Order: sequence, then structure tokens, then C-alpha cells
Amino acid sequence: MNDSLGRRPGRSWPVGPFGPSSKWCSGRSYGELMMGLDSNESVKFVPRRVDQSRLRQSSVPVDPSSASSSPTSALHEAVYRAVYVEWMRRTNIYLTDTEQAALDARAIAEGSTRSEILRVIVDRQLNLGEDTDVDAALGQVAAELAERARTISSDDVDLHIA
Amino acid sequence: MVIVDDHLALLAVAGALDDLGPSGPVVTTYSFQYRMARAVSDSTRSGSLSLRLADPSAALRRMLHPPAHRLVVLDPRASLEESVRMAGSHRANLLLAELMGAAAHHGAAVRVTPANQGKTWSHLMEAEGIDFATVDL
Repeated sequence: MNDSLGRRPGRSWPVGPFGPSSKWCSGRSYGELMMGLDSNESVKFVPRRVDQSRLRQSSVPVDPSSASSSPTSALHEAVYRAVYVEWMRRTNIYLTDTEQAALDARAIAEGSTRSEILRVIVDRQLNLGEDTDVDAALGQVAAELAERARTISSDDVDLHIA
Repeated sequence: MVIVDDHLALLAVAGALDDLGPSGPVVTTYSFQYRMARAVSDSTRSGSLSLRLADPSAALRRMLHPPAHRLVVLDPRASLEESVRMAGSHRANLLLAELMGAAAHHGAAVRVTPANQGKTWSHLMEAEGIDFATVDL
């Protein structure tokens, strides 16, 4: 099956860090783990023999670092754990061809990945940016603000509580 | 889903709200959001509050656009039919009609602080079969 940009994959692998889909290409636009790394530093998940029974049993991808002890295994494991075990959870969503093409186009233009573009859109749409100082201040004055809300609304026929 | 008043909503946005019991997301109504946003905006007039908020404009932005994993503001249009029915049946003002209408429409529980509980609310919520309780902080 061609992807959303009409490219025909040469071979197909399961989606995942060491069994990438046809769109995976380490160090380029579709590398899932290239965030914060340039192309020379990006972690290259070379398809290798996998314990298929363990894959089937777990919803979390098998740690590829356990499959070999390459020189990059420490970095490999750290990035793997950060991205796939401690920081993110894999999910599947259905997108139209147009939506996929739009995400891919943005990813190519920005040197990013489809997943990263989606994460940015989700964060922005759902206001997920951190603002710990403001949150702490709001938590401390919540009772006073609630009292002020009652006072302000006391003579408002639509909003007062009687 | 649990609908909260402006006080609990403030705590939710701040990430300081304890588990309220009912499962599902913590949400509030447009009227309660309006009340708390107005209070935050008005805080610039209070010297002590303004000082403690440090950046009232940032606080207002946070209240106007709360992080959805902590608080969602319900669209009042979704429950307009139920809200109108509540207003007609119980002579409820906009705040209460929207609150009860949203609870009925979404099948949600309602939790408020004792200071924000109207005198007749408990009776009205029970009459409408709405899970209602106050939360002591």
C-alpha cells in the first residue's frame, strides 16, 4: 500500500522503535527518535531479530537495547526509555489521506516528524503548556478569588448564588 | 464527569484539586468560568491579591484557556434545551439553569464548595436526579 504521499514502500516492518514502518528513516524527516538530535546523533534502530512472543504480549514496544550490546546501547536505552516507557504512550488514530498528507508536508518542511507535529497541535489546542508559577499563585489565592467572584456576582441576577 | 464551581475550578487549573470521587474529567460551566475569570481580572484592583498573583494577566489567560487535562469548560449550547427546561421548572437563574442543564445533559455529578451552595440547590438537584454534594476544603 502506498503511503499518503504516494510512495511505495520497499519492505514493511511493524511500527515501533526497532521494527519501523516503511516511513521510518533514521536521521531524516520520519525518524521517530530524532527530536533534539541531529542526523549524526540520531538513534538508529536497525531492524533486528525480535522476540515475537514478547512483542505480542506487551503493548509497550520491547526494549531494543536488550537485543544487543552495541556501542550506542546506553544512549539507545536512555532515549528508548524516555520516549517509549516513561514519557509517552503509543496510540493509534485514524486520519484521512488529506490529514496525513498535511502532517507529512508540515513535517518535511520543518524537519520534524508526523508525531511531533501532531503533539504540538494537540498541546496548543488543549492548552497543555506548563505555567507552574501562575498555577502555584492561583492555587494560593483560590479561596480569595472565589470570595471575590461571589462579591462581584452578588448583585448580578444571572450569576448570583442565593 | 464532574461539574465543579468556580472555586474548585480554580484549584483544578492550579493542579491542586484532590480527587472528587466521581470518575471522569473535571469540567465547569461557562457561567462559573465567567465568574472566576472576572474575579481574576478584578484582582488587579486589590493590592494584596495583585501582588500575590504576580502576573494577573498571565493568570487571566490561564483561566480563559485552562489546560484540558485539568479542566474543561462545557459549551453551554450543548445543554441549552435542558437549561431552558430547568429555568422554567425551577425559576433558576442563568448560573443554576446552566449548571443543572449541563448535569442533566451530560449525566454528570456536581460538586461545589459550601459557600457556593444555594439554599435550594440540594433539593432541586435531588428532584432532577443529579448527583450533588459539597466539598469541604
